[in-house]
Amino acid sequence: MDVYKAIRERRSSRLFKKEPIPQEELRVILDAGRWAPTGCNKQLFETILIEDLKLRRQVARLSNNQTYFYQAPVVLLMLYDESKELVPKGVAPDVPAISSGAFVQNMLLQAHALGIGSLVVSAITKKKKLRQLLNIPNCYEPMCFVFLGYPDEEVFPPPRREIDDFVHLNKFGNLITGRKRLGALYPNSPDPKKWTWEEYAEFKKRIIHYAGPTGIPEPVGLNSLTSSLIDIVSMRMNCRGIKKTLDLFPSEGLFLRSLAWRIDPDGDVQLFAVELSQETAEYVEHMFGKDGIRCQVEALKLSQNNDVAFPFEKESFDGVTCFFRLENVPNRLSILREVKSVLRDDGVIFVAFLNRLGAFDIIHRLISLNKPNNFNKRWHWLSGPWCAPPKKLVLKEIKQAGFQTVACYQFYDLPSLLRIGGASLLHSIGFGHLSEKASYSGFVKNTGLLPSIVLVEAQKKGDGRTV
Amino acid sequence: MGELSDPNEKIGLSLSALSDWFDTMRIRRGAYGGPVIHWWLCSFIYCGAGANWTYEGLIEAYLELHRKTRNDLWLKRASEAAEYLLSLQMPDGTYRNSFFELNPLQGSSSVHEASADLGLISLASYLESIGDHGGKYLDATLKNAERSLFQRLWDPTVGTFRSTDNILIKSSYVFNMMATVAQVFLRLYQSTQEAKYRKLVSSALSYILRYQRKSPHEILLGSFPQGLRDENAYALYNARILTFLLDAHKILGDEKALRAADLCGLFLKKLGRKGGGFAFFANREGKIYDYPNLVGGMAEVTRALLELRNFSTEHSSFDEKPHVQWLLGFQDSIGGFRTGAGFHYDVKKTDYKDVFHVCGWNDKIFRLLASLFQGHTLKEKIGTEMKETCWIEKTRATFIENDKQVIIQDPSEDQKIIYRWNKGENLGFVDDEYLKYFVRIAPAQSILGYNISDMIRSTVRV
Repeated sequence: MDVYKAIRERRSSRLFKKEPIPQEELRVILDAGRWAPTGCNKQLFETILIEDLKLRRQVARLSNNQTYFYQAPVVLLMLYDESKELVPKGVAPDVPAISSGAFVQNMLLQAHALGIGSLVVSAITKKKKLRQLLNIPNCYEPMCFVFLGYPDEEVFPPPRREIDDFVHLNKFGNLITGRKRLGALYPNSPDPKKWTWEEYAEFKKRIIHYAGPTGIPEPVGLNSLTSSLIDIVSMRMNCRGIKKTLDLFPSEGLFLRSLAWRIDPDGDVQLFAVELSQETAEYVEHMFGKDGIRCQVEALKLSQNNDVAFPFEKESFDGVTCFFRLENVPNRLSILREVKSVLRDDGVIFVAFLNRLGAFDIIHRLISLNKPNNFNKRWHWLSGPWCAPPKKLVLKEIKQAGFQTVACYQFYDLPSLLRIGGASLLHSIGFGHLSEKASYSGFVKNTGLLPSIVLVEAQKKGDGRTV
Repeated sequence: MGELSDPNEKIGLSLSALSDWFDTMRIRRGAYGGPVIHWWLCSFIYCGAGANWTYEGLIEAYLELHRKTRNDLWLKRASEAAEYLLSLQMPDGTYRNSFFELNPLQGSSSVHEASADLGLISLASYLESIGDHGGKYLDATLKNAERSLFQRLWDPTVGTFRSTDNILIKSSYVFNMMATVAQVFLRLYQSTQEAKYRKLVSSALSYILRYQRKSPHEILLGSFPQGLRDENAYALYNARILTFLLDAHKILGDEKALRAADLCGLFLKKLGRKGGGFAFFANREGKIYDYPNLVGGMAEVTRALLELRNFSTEHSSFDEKPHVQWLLGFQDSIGGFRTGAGFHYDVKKTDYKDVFHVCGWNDKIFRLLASLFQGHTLKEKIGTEMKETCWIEKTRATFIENDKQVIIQDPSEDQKIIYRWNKGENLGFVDDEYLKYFVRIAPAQSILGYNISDMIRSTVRV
């Protein structure tokens, strides 16, 4: 197989068939690994093949509870001997990581050439216990796990960063193209107003790239509350007889997919979506297609002066939905005006957003107090370029854009972590009997001063038509 | 139902009305929808059909009626339901929309998929027994069992089936769910004699038996807790485990399973109520809770004890009549059985959730009644519309159901529609003012005795 082709085609597999990998093929993969470059060609790598199922379970517990320990036919732990490095640690501290990385990448490519899927996981949370469990001498550093197996899913390549966006000339920040560098995976500012549309589009690409097909980088996930929200939207769309609908920036499509299953079982309703770039549009359309949902996804048109335009005919939609995206966009008003232009005269927009000073927003703010300019990745669903707007402001902007608010549904919720955390806390201080009551409704009743989530239904103001 | 002295006639009449009601709940051929009421979460707005446990009771009831009446209509109905299930099967073996109260959701729910499989296996073996071909239904089950249930749920480290893909959380080990999944493999073993299925079942059986309460509180003796995290023992879920244990005894000849079933039967009997029916659950201290009393669930308990009667001398005296009589009291003139009693915090009042008729509970009653039916013909339909006063918290309302609609309306002069589902449609309608009572709310507020419908605290019409 052509090397470049193998590099382009290889994807991380997260679902493996139970079918074992023949020993000969495993040896070929390990052989490819050992030919990788290592610091001073010392070849200080070792690897442990973990076969015992009970042992795998124990290892999983020490490694962030990864589920792949049970799925993958082959689990390898990569080790590197740091004590025998010729280059002093102070001079080149990352030699073990670089050498191991090269070793692993060779293996992954060779596995791919053999039709075998692979995944690298470096989450080893309890190294000391892992050493004890697997009798690993102290001089060896556990670097990562490599999971191998025949893939049980087709993985579509998520978008990649542009070369021109990461190659700097002479000094950091001087991109070879001479243009301004776009933000990193996480934004430099939590305020989307400080972003350009181009930066936001790039961020979305990376979010999809980061999360892959299994991650859910949404500010809120799909739980019973958000299911209710989609129930309400689908019910209202049904009441209004909406047949052609547009969703704004569905990303992985968690909410749009859920809506589609409610309103479009027989292909009665036409679904469209707009995404921020051609790459994300293609990705989203592909992901929907996999679930049997017909949805045409087009890319937003960005202009030089940071203006946006929808690639659709004027007054062509009956309804528009926007689930937790207004918090992200650099300019809400411009989007709402575009929405107005593509809606027919009595068309409706449904906007769901996180409210300022709702539970999610407060947590977001607390986190950003700690790291104002560099959001912690562990909280990615709460961070990113979103800034919960106050309900009043959104209602005002909706009006400014030429809509009349018909209904405003307000939801109270706490993130599940807080609910579970609250219950655990009560247990730990001896009030476990209260935890059931306090873990949900009690909190809602006592602290739900402001709604966490708001759903607005607004109608386009037509010429002389009644709402 | 009317006062009939012949119990068989009573059951025949009830079955007839119930099957007519099921006909009104079809969204399309073989697809049964409608609102879902569950003790922990309800789906009023989304009313589309899905692949869930409705089909185990429904298909088995239709087959039983065909066996007893030889009327081909019943076989046709069973086949249509099975065809619908097949139409939902995805390439990876899972069924779309297999979450019952959580539908529509991507992914699949172990217990609902497995229950649908049980319906398909019953149809396949019945067709074979009458000289017809049921291969495609068995194939669909094999595909689901191999690719979905085994691949996703089998945990080799402990030798049982998890209830979700989430491997490392304790709450993913739910005993009734693993029993139902194991029951699929047990029936597959019976059909195919594949030794590996037997191994899986034996291992899961041993795992489940390990958790049967042998010594503690007298009331809980013989019961199975809900899971590793929930120590409550629910009557319905224990009954489902009991059915699996009896199947294991019948098919594998396992004596331990029979002894465990015997003990479990004793626990269920302790939950029996004087006027018929059973309590909902006993908590880990042995305190018994009656409400909400799910009628379909109690039908499952009665059915399990009836089956046990055939195998155990200890339970040979079990009398199902008071329980059946109790069940029949919940059948409305439209033909469907209401969900239950006691959803309202004032149990003397009929809650709006009590009175809904749900396919995924009525199938359990349908199956029980069909198994008890002795006659050869069924009576004609008896009712076309029902009206009942119910309560939405402190508001009195009128529940109306007919062939075309389910409606809850304000009984005052303006007769405002509070809730409406046009049968055959995917979505119901709720008036904004009452929305908070009809959205999905996760925790089990009913049994905890308080209401959390405050989640949508205000709905503002601007």
